[in-house]
Amino acid sequence: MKKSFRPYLAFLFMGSLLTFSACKDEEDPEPDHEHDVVTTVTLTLTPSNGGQPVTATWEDLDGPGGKAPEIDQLVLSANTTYTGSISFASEEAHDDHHHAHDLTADIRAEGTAHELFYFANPQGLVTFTKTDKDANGRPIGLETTATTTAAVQGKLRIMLKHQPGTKSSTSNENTGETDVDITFDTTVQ
Amino acid sequence: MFRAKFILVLLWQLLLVAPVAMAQEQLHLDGEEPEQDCGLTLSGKVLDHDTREPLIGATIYIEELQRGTLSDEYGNYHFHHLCRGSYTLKVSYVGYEPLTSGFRMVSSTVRNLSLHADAQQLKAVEITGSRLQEQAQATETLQGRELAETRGLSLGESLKKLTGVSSVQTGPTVSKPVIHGLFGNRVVIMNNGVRHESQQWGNEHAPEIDPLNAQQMRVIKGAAGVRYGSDAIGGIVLVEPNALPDSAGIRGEIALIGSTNNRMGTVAGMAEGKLRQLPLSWRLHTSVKKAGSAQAPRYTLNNTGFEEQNLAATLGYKRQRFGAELYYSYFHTKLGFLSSAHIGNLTDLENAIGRERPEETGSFTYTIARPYQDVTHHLLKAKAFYQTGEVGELQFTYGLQQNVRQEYDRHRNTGDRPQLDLDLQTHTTELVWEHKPIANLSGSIGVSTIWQNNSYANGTRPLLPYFINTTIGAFASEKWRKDNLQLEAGIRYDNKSLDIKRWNRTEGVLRPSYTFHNFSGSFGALYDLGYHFTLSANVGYASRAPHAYELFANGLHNSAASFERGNPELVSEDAVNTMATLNYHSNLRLNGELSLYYNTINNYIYLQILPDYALGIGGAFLQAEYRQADARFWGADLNFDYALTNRLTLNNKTSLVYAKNRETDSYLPFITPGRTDNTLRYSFENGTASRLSDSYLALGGLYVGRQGRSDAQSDPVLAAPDAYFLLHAEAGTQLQFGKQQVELGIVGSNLLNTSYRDYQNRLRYFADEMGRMIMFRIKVPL
Repeated sequence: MKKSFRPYLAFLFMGSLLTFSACKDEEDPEPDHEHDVVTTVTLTLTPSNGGQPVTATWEDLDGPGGKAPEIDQLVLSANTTYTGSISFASEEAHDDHHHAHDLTADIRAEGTAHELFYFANPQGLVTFTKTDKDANGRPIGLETTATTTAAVQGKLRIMLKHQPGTKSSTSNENTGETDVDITFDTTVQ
Repeated sequence: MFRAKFILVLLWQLLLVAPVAMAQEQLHLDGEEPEQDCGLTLSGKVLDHDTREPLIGATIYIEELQRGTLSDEYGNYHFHHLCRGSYTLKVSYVGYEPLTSGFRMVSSTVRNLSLHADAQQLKAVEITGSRLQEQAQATETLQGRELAETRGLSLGESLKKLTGVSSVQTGPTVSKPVIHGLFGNRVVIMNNGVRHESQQWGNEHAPEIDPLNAQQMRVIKGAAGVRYGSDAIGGIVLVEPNALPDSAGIRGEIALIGSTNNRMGTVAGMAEGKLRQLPLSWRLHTSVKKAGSAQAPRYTLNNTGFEEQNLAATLGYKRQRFGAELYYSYFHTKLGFLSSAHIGNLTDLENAIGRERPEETGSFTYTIARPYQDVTHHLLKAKAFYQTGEVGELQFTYGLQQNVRQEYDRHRNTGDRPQLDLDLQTHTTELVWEHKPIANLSGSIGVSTIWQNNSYANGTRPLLPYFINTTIGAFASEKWRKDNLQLEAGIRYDNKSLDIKRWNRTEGVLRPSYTFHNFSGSFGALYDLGYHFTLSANVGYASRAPHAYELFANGLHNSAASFERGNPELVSEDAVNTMATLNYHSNLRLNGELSLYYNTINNYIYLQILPDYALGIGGAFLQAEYRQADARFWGADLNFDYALTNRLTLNNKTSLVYAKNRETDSYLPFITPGRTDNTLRYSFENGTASRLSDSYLALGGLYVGRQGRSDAQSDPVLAAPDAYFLLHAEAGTQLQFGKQQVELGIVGSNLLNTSYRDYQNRLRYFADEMGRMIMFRIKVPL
């Protein structure tokens, strides 16, 4: 029998796989976070009788837990009607700068699968009426009219619901998946 | 409540079994009565004359009666209902000189038959068969008919056929094996001889293995760290494909599987062969599966379709002293996730729990929409063995695996990007020397390495950090056997270093690194008590280093509305598992096995839901954190067959698991409830002239108790669901069309279309389990 095949050679070859397995390019995780996660909500209310717009921002860059979110106070004037708009952004904090990606247009484009809900406590603190409509004629709530009456202190809760396939004439704030659920301390003076 | 019901079920079983056991005793007594003419039993072992090793599958033939039998896996044989008289016994076994002996039968007798190795035949015949594999630790094997009945199911679902094995589920499509209440990283899965390395930490990550390529699946229960790695605290699952053909020629097989309910269709094909000129053999196996939305009895489980594509190719070269094998397998699956279980925050979770049925039910579809998982697993294996003279065999195995897991959430406008995109690459090597018996002692020593690199794609969720895991281990295990006693002992040491890279908002890239020293050991004894009883006991120690996920998890779990956080302070968990097994085998009527176990785990790592919520922009979330506590697991497995008649057999499989946090004396979450499955099976007598063979019909019921050992502390979100009972039936046959053989089978599960929820299904908050399903299979060898 000819001895051309040497088993130990095969073992040597396979053993070399061991060493070769230990080299792999060293790469580091990017200082980045998950894309398209809402980190910042900005509510802008412009008095319809002219005057300075009021803005309030709710921002949480590192997600639930971790650093506490930064929440503005919302200060409104009594007996005033405002034109409201709300924007959503995904901010990615890099070493020395912020890089924001606006998500409001995406929500509007997918209006048939989204709806915003505004709840004031106490009721009547500020009343929101949704003025924009999706392709099916259902309200979205990115554009609103807000009305105040008496001077009072309270809380404004804003919810963005993702309702793919479930948004309908009977859907409400309990339908679908919650994307955003935030509360602003609000003063009407 | 649960307990009462369970005891009732057990009592019912005892009532059923007690007369059986008595009848059994009666049978033995009868045998010893000399007046009794035809109730005698002849039994014993067939042994190798020199080594005293039992011979498996030897033919024993009584010439006068023209009755024959084969020795079983312990080398035992038996003839029942013999009459008094003189007989001639002929024993034959490949590689041994045949034995003929005459004897007189007066009473029931035990005769051990020892055969001499045939020197001439030994040269001609290559003995590839395994020696007796029995071990002191409880093992169960799924093969043959039972395995065939699981064809079409996932690996996790298939293994539920075994006593003491259940599964952790995420909806109808994801199922992970649970052994004695332990799962995930505590159960090592060996796929064709290579440690399966994927993202096992996730309960919703099913093993990426095609069960259709397996010829048998073996489960070793309890701490078994010595052979494959110290982390096998819960046990080991061995998935083994068929051996390559050793006779020249080409053959193949086609199998078709279809089911009602999710309208699953599977096509599997296999071709294998061996060359005539060279000792080279090969096999190709492929399977393709597609299923649509599963149906619960009252509604459709929206978006629960899945698809799977598999390919496996093997090439083997084998000479007498040297052999090598190259194996490659590809697994890809895309599986939908119940859409209503993808929720935003705690309020959504409360809403979902409050609903009678899921928010979205939809109608049947094969389309898989977001949320879904897309997972690809590659495995390349190279293996070689070399006979080191007459004393043993050297084996080397190298495995390269890549696991790419992409999870697509139900976000708005994210294009085609996944939200979770993990890439795990693993190289494993193992060098083992198995030595042949030296003075009753046989065993093996070996070294193994694991090198693993995990990363995620930029811009996806950093749920798990980058890490490199380097593990080097060495082990030795020996088995000593003499007469009726076998002793075994083993020891292992693993050195694991874990280098983590994670990005932190304030501090940049952090590089924590860990070194773990893990020992593992086992000692077992197996004693053949005679009278068909074997008693075995085993003490195993295993130590598992925490996984990178348990140390540094950081992210949102959508289906649980929980924000999961790792604990960088975790240390290794250590388990001491004591198990005793009594096996009653090779009897005419009753055969079975009872195992009792007691498992102490110190520093048991578990995910605790915290009482305070985390506030994020999406609202309130549950917070869950990895913690450690000393725990205790104990329980029992019972499995027996009772032949009511020659054709009708009752099979029972019962398992009980209990667990407790020893520090706080409280319950642990997610522990398997007690379960018992009873099946009546009727085997038809198919005459030799019949076109049918191996025909059978079976009907059974599975009862799963309510997990009574849970409370508001262990399950703060929702109390454990009620007990349930499911009816199942199976039928199968082999058809002969001329020279063509066809294997047919039908399996029906949840026949009464019962609506129920399972405690170990993570989606029990959201939806019912699958309703009635009938699965058809046909296998045609070519």
